[in-house]
Amino acid sequence: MRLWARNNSLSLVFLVLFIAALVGQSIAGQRAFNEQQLQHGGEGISYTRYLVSSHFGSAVLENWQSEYLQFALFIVATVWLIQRGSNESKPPGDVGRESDRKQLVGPHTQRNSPSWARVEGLGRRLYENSLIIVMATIFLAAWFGQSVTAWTEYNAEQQEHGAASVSWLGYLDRPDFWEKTLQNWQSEFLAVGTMAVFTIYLRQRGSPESKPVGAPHDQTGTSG
Amino acid sequence: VTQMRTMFAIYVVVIAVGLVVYITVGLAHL
Repeated sequence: MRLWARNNSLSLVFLVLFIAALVGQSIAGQRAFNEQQLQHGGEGISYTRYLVSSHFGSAVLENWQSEYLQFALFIVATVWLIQRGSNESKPPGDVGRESDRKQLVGPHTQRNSPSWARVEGLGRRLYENSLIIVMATIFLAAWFGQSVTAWTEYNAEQQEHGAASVSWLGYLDRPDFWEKTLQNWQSEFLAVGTMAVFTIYLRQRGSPESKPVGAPHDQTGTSG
Repeated sequence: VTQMRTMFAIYVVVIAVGLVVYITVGLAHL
């Protein structure tokens, strides 16, 4: 168990941080939601009811979708685009999908390579792109989830103000949906670009997210 | 290998549960 925790400490710590932040968000979210309800002459809702509310759901998923979009884009963009000197980029000569020999596929597999790397055809095609496929699917599902929960929220507010409800497609055309979407995207894009650029000149000793401290600034893609 | 598989499964389940629950919540008001 102790060994298990040590071997998985990175994902374990982030899982604990995720749960703690989500619990904190739900507690603060319920209070904020109830404050607003009371101000509008409505009644508050219980914590468990809040956990399965559209208010909480849309707040969670609008952040999820942007994170998965960020990673999905970064995974695919770094196949084709480079930033000279960045730890997040591969060297200019390696642009593209790279050779079978370098990617250890087909006849170039090793003894303990995944079996999907060995096969030819569709199976390998899917496995070669499985990371982007799964990350993009989570992004699309989360974005869809954001749209339906925020749509419910939007219509509840419309009703409160005696205005007409809108259809789901109608909601996708509202500035509310795009503001919620784009305010999350802009921060992700800035952060990704920052990581690509800052790792040219800045270092964190011991981190694979950084080049070695003594690596030259023009050296590209050499985690330390 | 089993060790990493467990962690992989935990993440998959957390994400799947989150997506399914809140997509259902959103669609429940249809």
